[in-house]
Amino acid sequence: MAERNSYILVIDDDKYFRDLASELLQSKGYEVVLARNAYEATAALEAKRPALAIVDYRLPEVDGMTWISKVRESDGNLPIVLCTGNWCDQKTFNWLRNILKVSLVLQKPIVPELFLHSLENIIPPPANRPPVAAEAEQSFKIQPALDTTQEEESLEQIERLLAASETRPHELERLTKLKRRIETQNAIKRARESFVKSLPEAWGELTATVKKARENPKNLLLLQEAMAVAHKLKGTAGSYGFSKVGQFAERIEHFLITVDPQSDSEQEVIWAEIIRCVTEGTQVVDAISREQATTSEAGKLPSLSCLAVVPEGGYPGPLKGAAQDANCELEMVGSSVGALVKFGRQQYDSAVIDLALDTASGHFQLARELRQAAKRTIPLGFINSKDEQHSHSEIVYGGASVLLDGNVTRGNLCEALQIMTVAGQMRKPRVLCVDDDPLLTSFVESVLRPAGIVVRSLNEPIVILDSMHEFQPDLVLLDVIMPGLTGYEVCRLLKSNDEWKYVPVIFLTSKSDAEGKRAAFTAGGTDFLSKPVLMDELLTRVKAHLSKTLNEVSTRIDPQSKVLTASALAAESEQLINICDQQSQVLSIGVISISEFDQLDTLHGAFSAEHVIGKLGELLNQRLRAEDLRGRISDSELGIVLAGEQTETLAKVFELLKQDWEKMCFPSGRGKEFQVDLCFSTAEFPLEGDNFEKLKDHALRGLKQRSALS
Amino acid sequence: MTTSINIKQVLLVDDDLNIRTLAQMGLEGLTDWKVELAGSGAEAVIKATELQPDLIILDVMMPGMDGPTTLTELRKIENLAATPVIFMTAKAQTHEVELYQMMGAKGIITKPFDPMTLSDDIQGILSKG
Repeated sequence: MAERNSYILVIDDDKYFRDLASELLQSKGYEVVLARNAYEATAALEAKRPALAIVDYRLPEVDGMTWISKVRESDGNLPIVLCTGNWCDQKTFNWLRNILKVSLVLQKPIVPELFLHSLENIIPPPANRPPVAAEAEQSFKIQPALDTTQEEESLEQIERLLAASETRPHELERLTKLKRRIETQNAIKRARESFVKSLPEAWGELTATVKKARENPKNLLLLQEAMAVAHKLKGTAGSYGFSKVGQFAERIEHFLITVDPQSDSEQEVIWAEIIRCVTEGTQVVDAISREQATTSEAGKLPSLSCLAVVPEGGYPGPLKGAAQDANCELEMVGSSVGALVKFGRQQYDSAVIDLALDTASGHFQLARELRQAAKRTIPLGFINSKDEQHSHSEIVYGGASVLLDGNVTRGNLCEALQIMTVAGQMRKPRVLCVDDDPLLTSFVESVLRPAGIVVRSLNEPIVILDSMHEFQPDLVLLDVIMPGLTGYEVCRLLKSNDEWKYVPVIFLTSKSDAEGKRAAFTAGGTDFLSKPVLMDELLTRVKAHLSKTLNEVSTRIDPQSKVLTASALAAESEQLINICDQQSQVLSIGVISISEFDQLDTLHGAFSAEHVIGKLGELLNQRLRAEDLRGRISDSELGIVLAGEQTETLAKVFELLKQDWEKMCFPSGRGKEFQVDLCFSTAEFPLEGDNFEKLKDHALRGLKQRSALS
Repeated sequence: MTTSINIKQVLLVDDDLNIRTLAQMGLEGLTDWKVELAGSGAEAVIKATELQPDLIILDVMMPGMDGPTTLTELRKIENLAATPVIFMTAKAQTHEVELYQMMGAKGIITKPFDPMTLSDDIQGILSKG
């Protein structure tokens, strides 16, 4: 509890830091005592208990963590802030939080404004505040509140009211009580949810013991055991608010008591009643757990929409099951015409095609037509249920991110849908949402995902760098107040990192006063959203900040060929090469050159060359897998990059490409249609180069040699 | 809500973990009491001796030492002879209530209970004196 006239103890061997901290704290009206090392700190502590201790991680002789451990032996509640020059790892952080009960970890060098702002959340400045207010604030601000749940909004309302009624002690007391009630209610609600999960098991135990007692009617011990189980369940289920289950248990107990193991007469009537109660109770328990299952699933949004083009009555069971497992919204259609109609009406993220389906133009042609209808390079999956012969290059060129050979099961279908989900996300903007409250992160997911944004939630901010590296987000949403770590610190970390400093950060904050806003921008934030977060505002702001990134996507696309620009292709290829390197996989690069490109305009009229390269780009986008890279290498050359494939496959892919290309005629200014030749060359990683430039040069040399030969 | 006894620490004895969790949640959430837990009569005797709680809440039906037996044992311990004890039971017929009161219990909480009003119920029992 905060004592009036209490002080803040600052322990640091660095004089500059001590002076700075003391000046800052005194400016806010705090009383400050300085200590140069652990011994001086302990002496100060013994003389008078401070309201807060700010401890440096590195101290001479006895370091900060050791000192805190010592303090905790006798004082479990003293609020402590640890300052450290290094970002600590997760293990250390958990130790600090959970064992040493450190309220906050701050990054050195400190930023004055953020320093004060962060401390104010732990201990309010003493200036002109009635002690009740300070005490009430302490009671809920030192430690982060219990996980807020559905009542979040009302809790936040109360907190606003609390802040507004600082000077009215009675009002404060009433509101604090109300707050405790809501928090307790929330905690009980969560306990109830976990109790539901164990309810079928508990009821099963009752059913089993009753059955045993029924089968051995002369055994008094078994009868008593059944009574005890029923008795217990009656009290427990009832207390958790499942009064109906409790009532059934009560009736069962009541009837069990009247059973007389010594008597032979009239027992059957009683047992019939007991069995009836057990049966009815089972139905109620089943209904409760089903309801629980559906409500917890309702909150989950589909991560992928998919159209399955499969023969009528093919395997709806496994498909539906897999869609459920992979959290996918799946529709089925039995013909290629039907599939095209559906794609014309609605956007799907992906499609699954069964190669056993009768199609007029061929399956690979259907795949191409679906992409044409979708106007996007959607990920595709092929099912080869009838074991038809298709070469690997046909499958790759056809665009299958995944091929299911032979038996279709719920398991392998689910895996296929997951692979397609990942392949489909390659081109969508990504947002990383960092908040310790899972409810808020799932809310953000539910708002952003339908807008075509891939959202990853992170509830443990301490591992943010790992998440950044793995997920490569285009934008970060960051909560300000998290247990042990403020969003400001996390943001500063990102901004000090060369790789991430340009990623926009939006703060989620319940402090939308001028100071809160200033702190958000001081820490390097791009923008902020006040909590409770409104759906429309969240979407609008995220989209606005992403638009910069999204525009960048469009500047990464070559306007003529609609494939990646040369520089974007190089950058993305390098990333892909890194991944292949880590997984010891090969990768192939192919260069496609349009013959006599420079002369096309002269021979066939203006824009002929542009038209030709546009058609080639379009073809590449309709063919090949969604995750393969397509880009422009030079005016007359396009490149493709296929992870996991050898140049042998690529050569066959080119044969197929050639077949498609030879069917394409272009209108000439001279009235006649004309055709264009393509030349190919390839290079393989790691055999012929360990980076994109080397591989590209290798392929280009191959092209030159070929044209020299011909 | 004034009580004649100033309660800081409560010992809650029940063999059912679910009940212990729920009751502790309700009591600690809504009062300033510190609630210590015991899962059996035997554990209750040890913890009560060590902690000297201001109030003991005892489940009646427990395997091994049941509630009434535990109460008899507790009364033998010095300093615990006068500690108020409240029984918690799913069977609360009138004659049982009288029996428990004769044994020296302050009162009875019936199961199922509402965790949100549990603390009020207890305070009601204690203020009756």
